[in-house]
Amino acid sequence: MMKNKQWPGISITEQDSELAASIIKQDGLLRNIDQKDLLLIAASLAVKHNAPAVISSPGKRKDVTHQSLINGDNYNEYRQYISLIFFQTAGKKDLKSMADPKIMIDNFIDYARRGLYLLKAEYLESNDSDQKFLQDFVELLK
Amino acid sequence: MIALHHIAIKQFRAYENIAINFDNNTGVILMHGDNGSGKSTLLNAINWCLYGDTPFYTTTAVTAVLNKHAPQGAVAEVEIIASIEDKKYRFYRKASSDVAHGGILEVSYEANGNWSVLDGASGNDAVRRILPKDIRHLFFFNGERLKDIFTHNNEHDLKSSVYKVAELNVIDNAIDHIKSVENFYLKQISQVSRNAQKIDQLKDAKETFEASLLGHDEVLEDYKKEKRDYKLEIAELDKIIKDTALARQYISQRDSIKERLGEIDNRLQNAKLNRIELFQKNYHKLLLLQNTKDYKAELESASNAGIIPPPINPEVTSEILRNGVCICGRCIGDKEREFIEKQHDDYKAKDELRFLTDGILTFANLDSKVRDIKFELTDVMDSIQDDTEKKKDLQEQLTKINETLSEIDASKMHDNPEARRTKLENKISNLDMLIGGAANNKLAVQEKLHEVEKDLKKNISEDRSTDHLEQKRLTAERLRQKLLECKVLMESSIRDKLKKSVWQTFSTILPDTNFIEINIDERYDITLLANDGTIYTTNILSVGQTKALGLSLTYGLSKDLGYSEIPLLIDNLYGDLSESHYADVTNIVSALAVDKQVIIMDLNIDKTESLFKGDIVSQRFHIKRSANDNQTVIEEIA
Repeated sequence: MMKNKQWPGISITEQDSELAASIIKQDGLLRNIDQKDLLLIAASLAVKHNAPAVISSPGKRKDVTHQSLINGDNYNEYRQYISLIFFQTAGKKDLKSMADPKIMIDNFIDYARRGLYLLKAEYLESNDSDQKFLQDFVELLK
Repeated sequence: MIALHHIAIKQFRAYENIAINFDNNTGVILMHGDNGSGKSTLLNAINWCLYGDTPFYTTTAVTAVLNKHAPQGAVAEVEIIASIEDKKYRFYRKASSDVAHGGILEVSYEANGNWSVLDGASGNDAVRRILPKDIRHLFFFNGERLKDIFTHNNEHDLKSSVYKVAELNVIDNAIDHIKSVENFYLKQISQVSRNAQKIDQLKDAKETFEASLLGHDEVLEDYKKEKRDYKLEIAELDKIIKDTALARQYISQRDSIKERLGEIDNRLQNAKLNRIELFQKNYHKLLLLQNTKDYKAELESASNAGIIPPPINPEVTSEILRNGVCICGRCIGDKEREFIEKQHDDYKAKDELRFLTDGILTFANLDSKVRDIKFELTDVMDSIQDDTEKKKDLQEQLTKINETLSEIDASKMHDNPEARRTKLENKISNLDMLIGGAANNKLAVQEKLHEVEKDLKKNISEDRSTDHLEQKRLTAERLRQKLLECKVLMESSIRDKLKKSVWQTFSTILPDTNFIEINIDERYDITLLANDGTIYTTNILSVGQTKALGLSLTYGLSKDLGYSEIPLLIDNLYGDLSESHYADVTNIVSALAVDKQVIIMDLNIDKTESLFKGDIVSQRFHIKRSANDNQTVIEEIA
């Protein structure tokens, strides 16, 4: 039963958290974005661009979304996107794993990290990042 | 030679109608008559005929000369025929009740046996030739009044008589006239001097007025300059007002643009925030949707190749569905939904199915969501673009306005130029009044100056030199001095002659006295000094002596001063005279009668007959009352 399966909370490493904080602080399209939403965008970007895996540094982790929150009704859509990301990445080969939220969360964090580093290069360290992302956004709407 | 030849009197006083003739041109004519018989009336009649008056009466009314017994409408008439030189003249005067008592004198002269009437002036001249009226008292007189000659301050006194006879009064008149001429020149000199002073005053006044005029000009110029300055300032103010209005308009526009820019900025900010929000909320969806589209194509391709797509596996699908994952790219159709629902009937009534369904539906609606996002983003982007363009336009406008405003000299801006302008206009209005007043004052000064210049021109045109006037005055003065000298000489000569007459008279009337000195002073008072030291003056002479002296003076005057030919007509010669002086008086009269007619009227013919010796008496007449005692008649005695 889906209801009985508890989704684990989302946590990232301190290094990833600092990177996310830098992105959030930068004046641009992602300024002041909620950290969990930033992770969702980052993961989506990583999926679209098939970003390479980034080795996670060991160490203390920081909660992005606590387990008590992610299992709530308010996170239904969020969880669906996590599932979709899993479906579009590992899910194509391992659909059965979709029955395990922890796998999907790990997959999500993995792609989120990839996306954060993508954003570091394309957003933090780019002069025309806003224009490019906005253009991409518009293009996607066509 | 002057002689009376005929006297005719009609209705004059007591004379009704008489006529007498004198035969000789010289000699004594004795006429005697009682008191009141008409002797004085005869004297008056002759005077009246010649001079129109009756000095021997106290009354002069016409009725006084008209015979009181004359018939109604009668006129008094006196006719005298006399010869002057060798020519005969007729003097005729009459008076009626309707004319003045002087009546009308008609003078005629004989020409070829007829009488030709002279005009008035010629007639009066003939009268003057017989005897000038002024000196008639020396020839026609009452013997009892002969003493008047020694009484001062009457027209018959000696001095007055001398002056008249010698015509010294003419010299006096000439002297007075010359004196008046001198005074006239003195006045003219004074006037010229005053004119000179006036000219100086006028010049001073002119200078004052000219200076005043310059002052007025300066004041006027100051006022006009002040007015010009105010007008220039007003013109500047007008520009400032215009610039200020323009600046205000631009500032208003600038403020409006700034406000609009603010609004646009706000909108842009909000739009950008919306865009960010849209981006942040939807970017991942679009990214994932793109992937699902790619996957959909992939699935469709596999389906077409007969490969059953993994989601068809019920277990997997149910798991997928349970996890809320939509096989989105495929857009779950009715058959698929029916299949899923059939495969999982046992979940139909359960929440999970609904959850899955909702999840599927959520993704199934993604396309529509994308459209919504697109619309929303388009709106935002359009808004941003639109507002950006607007902002650009407004910024351009703002730039232009700022440039324009920078061109307006803000330093000249006035806080309240309109008020200042009104104040200046009021000042100009006041200045106009002042200018008007000053112009009027100037005009008044100009008029005064004009008057002064006119007056000055008039005065300057007159001769300022008094030399010629002084010369004339000196000439007149010299002439007056000459006349005075002449008069003094004449008086001196007359006095000498008078002294001679007086000497002879006194020697006659006082034969026992030797006189050593005789003096006639300015008043013609006579003083004689006898060798015994006695001083004789006319005041101490007896009546006889006085009369004798008077007659001698008359004789002297008439003889020595050219009147020896005029007849003497003496009434009452011996009237108040003592017999001791009869002879003295008679001698003098006799001497006079040698050259002229002497008509003597007296009471007693016997007395007079006894006094005049020889044939000096030429005719004798008796004046008497007629029988009825109403009329006087004159009869010649053989």
